[in-house]
Amino acid sequence: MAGSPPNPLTGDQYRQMVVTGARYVEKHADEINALNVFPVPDGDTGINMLLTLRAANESAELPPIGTGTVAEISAALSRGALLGARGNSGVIFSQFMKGIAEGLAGAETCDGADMVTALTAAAAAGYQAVGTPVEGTMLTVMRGAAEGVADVTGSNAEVLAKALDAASVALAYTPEQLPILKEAGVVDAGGQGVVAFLAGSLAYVTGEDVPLEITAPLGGMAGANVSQAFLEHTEDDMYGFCTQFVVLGEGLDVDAVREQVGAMAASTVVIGDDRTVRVHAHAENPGPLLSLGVSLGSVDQINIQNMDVQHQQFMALHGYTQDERSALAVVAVAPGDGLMRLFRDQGATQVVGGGQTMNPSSAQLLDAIKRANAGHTYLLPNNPNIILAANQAAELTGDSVTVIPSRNIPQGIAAMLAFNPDLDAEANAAAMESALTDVQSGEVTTAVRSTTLNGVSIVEGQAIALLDGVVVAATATPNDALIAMLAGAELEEGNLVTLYWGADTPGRIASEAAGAIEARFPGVEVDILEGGQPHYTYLVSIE
Amino acid sequence: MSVKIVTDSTSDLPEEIVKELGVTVVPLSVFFGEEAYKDGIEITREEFFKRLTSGNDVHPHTSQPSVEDFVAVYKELTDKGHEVVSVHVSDKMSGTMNSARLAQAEMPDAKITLVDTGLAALALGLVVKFTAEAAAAGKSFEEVVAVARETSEKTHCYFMPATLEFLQKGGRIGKASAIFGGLLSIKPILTIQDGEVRPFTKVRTEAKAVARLLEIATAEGPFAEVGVIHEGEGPSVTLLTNHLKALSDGPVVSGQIGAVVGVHTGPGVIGMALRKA
Repeated sequence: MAGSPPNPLTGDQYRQMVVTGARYVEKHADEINALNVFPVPDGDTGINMLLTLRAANESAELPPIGTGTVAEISAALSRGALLGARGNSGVIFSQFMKGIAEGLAGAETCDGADMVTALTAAAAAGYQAVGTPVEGTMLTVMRGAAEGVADVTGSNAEVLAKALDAASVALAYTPEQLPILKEAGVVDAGGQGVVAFLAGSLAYVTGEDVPLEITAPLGGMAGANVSQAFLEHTEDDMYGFCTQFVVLGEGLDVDAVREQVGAMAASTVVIGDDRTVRVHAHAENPGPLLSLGVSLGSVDQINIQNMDVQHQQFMALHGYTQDERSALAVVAVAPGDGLMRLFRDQGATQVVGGGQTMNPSSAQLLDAIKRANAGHTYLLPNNPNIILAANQAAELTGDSVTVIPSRNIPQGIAAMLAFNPDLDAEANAAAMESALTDVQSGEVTTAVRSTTLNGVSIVEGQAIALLDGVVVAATATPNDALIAMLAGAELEEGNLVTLYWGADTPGRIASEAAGAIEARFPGVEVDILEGGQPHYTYLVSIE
Repeated sequence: MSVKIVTDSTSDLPEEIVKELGVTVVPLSVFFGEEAYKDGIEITREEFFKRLTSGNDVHPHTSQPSVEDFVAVYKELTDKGHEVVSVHVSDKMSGTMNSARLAQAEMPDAKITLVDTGLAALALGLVVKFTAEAAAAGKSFEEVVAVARETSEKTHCYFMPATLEFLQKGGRIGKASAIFGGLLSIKPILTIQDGEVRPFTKVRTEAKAVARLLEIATAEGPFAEVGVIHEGEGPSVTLLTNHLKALSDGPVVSGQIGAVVGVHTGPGVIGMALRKA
């Protein structure tokens, strides 16, 4: 074939082109894997695309060598890819192959013009398959290739050379479109896979090797590796099960299935035809998805993967290791960035956002307990409304979780400080529980309606102060309410008042409050910290 | 011929006990910049804390005794026909044991045994005191060495530095490093375990820290001997001393911290050394 590039391609030659494309993906699979920034959906983009291409090339519907038109062969390849698709990238790639087959329908051979039609159909089919198309992905790269060849007339070699160029440019732009890529300093992994496949196809039709390097992001640094900062950042985002299966039946309505699956799960890709529908989705519970499948036809090729495990493997691939499993850990609930950070600083392994107006579910707490990865876990609910969910979570885990019933942030901090990882589980539980009574807790917030509580008459909009959960003052300003509340707390010399100021509290007001406390109560120490909690001007700890 | 006890100046034993038991104390050194002072000899604890808190000086650092310092002490004692049990600060906190080991290697014929107590300050002091008492009672060299080793295992300490600043600057914090980095002001109670400083618990005020020390002592007592680790005097020191008095038969040993320990704990530290029978 050297010296006389096949043009147009016969059925067999078309098939060889796809095999060569697959070989290029294979050659670069590890590098493509390393680019992937999506920790879970598609841990090994390169491998998944390769396996999908292999399934295509081994399709049972392929006619014997030496027979078959380009149309017959591309249809068979598409069918094989659809049935064998692996991972998100594989599923989308199989959709490209379906588009190509549609573009080449009826074609005896494939010339440059046919190739343009095929690439255009591939790009369109890709967008159609994905519930919510995202730019900066392999969809964008494929469309780049299609747009690049729209006006090209010439041989397969000329079309594919132009397609490769245009796809490479689109790939280099992907970090501009998808912030997650920019943050990680890489181009899209699936897009890189498309480029590798096009390079392989070009190599076949020209009979010459096409050099291929991993594309660097536009104007960015060399991008063969995902940055460490990025990995740490995305560490605790995803959970659940990556669920994939194929439904075989008759008269299947792909669009209707896509809609149903989309309502049940995330990251959904549903593709196929009236005989075969492939489903890829991320769900906390794969059961309902499978039930849906069974109701439509016969379900095959069920593949359910625990994304937590995938995620750990991904982190390991990139050299990011999680904390080792520890004997003891603390999981705390806290509202606001400042308070969440405070608990982490003091040694909480996991901090779940939440509080008075935002109660985390038992499932969220369970998830945090799982992540804490410890032999025994102490749970600090830090709010009376969360204690029940905490107890429920603890019941579901058997004996490995102890709920320390902290009713507010000051109690939670006191219990956190009493935690000592060197002591045994029982000694810690005793020390943490006993710390709860070490502190008094105060709150300053704004009254949302006029009423009388505990003998205090309150006008809507006034600042009100609570001491250990009981309203003790209603005044015009938060600082007046704070001082009135502290006056009732019988402060002594050597006491410490800690003010955690809220998300809506100006820092100036908080430092004025600290000054006012020191002036009014000599010998009392004041610590002021940014709590960042919503709704409460101050959370106050008195000890 | 008798068995003599050598220790280092981190033991913080009161002068009169050192004299009475005939213990030789090899001083570590404190440096303010280039100026070196031998602990307790060229600088008193009063002078040291005055300089430390004046705020005009560079932060001091400390240095182990030289090999020659140990050779001189060992030679003087062994030349007189004594056997030496050299009882020291944790190998993980100081290079003192290294200097002692090298000195011992210089004198292969002398009968010297080194004991790493894994402790510091008055906790080391209580081990030294009990070992020296065994030697004075006429126990054999081997018996005295055994006493030093066993007592090291039976002696604990808990202490609260007034501020974390000095521990942090000195770097001698072992696993207690976990208590740094937070914005919250806390009073940690620290202990020495496996030769390293470790956090034991954390509270927010000094009053609570002292109350916790009392609780810990009551829970772990009674003791064969107790001591108060402190810098200066004050109501907390009196409170702790009186509380500990009830938990052992003998008097409470007063372990005012010296310059070398002071570099790492800072002023205002309070704590207790507890020796179980």
